[in-house]
Amino acid sequence: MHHHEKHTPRGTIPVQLVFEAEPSNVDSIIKRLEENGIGIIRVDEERMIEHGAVLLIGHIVHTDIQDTIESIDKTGYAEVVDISLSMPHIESSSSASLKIDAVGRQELYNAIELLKNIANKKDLLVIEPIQLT
Amino acid sequence: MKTIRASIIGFGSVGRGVARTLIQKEDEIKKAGFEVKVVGIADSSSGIVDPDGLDLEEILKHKDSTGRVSEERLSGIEIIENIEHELVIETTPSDIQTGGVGLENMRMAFSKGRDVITSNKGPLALRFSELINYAKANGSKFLYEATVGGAMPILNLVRETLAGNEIKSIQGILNGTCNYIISRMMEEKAPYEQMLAEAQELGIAETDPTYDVEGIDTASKLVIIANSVFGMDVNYHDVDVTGITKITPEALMLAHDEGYAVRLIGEVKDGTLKASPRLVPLDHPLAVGGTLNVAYIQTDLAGDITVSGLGAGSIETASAILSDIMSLYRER
Repeated sequence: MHHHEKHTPRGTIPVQLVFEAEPSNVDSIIKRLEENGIGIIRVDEERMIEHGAVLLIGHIVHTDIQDTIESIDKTGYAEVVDISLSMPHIESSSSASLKIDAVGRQELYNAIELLKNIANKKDLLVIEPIQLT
Repeated sequence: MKTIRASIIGFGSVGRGVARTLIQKEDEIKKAGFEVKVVGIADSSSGIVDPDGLDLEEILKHKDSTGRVSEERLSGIEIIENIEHELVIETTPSDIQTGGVGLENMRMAFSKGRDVITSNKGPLALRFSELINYAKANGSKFLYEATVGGAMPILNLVRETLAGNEIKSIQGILNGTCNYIISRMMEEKAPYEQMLAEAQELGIAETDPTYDVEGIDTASKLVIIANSVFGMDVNYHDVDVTGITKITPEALMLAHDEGYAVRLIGEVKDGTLKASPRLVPLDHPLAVGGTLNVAYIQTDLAGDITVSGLGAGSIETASAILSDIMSLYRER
């Protein structure tokens, strides 16, 4: 995938390229590009390429939501990147939507499975997305 | 013209719907090259037989005024055993714990070599392979389109129209009651209990809604799909089931803000069966509201197919039974 921009005053054409590659291969990709006369302006890394959302319902805060989130973050392959919480009454169930990013589809699935295990122990209901493919 | 002698076992909402449909569609059935003569009818407390054919209009009137089909204490299983006929239309209520009287009726029908068309999920969700094998061993035909999704065609669609395709997965909204409650909770931002009460007032939910709202009905239909379409050998206890009773309106709103609807989805995928509330993208074919049933079928050749229809109701379920009757006895 690439995005083609306007010519610079120096006559070069800035191009944004996205490679999906193992981290160990990034240096050799850069080297090959430079060998072919392509100047590298900037390299960004996006590890968490899969995004998912999950709902939690139950006594989310009373059952230590920080612990729930940390369990996902500690995996190293997935992390909770956003949370919205709704607590209508102190006695009634709370609801939360969690956004989870992961390094791949399987890892996202694993993170949701992990979350379901934790939620099960805390008597929370997890509502996960349908798999689209 | 050939005559198919039939019994209607179970004369509640569905059984009466079948009787009305047989009266209404008599000409269409004859055009397909046969006629149906009902020789026996039973409800839970009475039965009536006539080898020359019963007057369905009269029996419907009698049932409406007295609550019984006759004054005779004659059971469904006695009719199946003793009256000569080809087809048993089994429409007794589902019993998911034991299979109930429906299971006994089907066993008796097959032991007598009779064909069975049913709307009763319980026996199929518990004893699918036993019943299929028993029917086969006795030369009986066994069709059950009406057990899954009422008027929404799914089993016949896959068997006939999508023949030759590999079915990769089926996901569906298979219970209109749950779909009504969840979609109304979102519309009114109201709690589960309130929308359940509304559904009960409208006759969409039963007085005891457990079977629907705990996902048992969806799970039963899923088992029938898994066994019938995917050739699996599973029963109700193999389904991972979660109901809708814990869902809050706040959760539905949070989901909506993220671009999702929550729906009770039955899913057969990668050899596993799951009936649970799921997040469905708002632009996905499964994100429908109201009492509709919807199935989303992923195939290798035909791509993704979506079908929807009314999942319950007397005449809608009778329509599925009629379609089974036509497909079984139509002259080819």
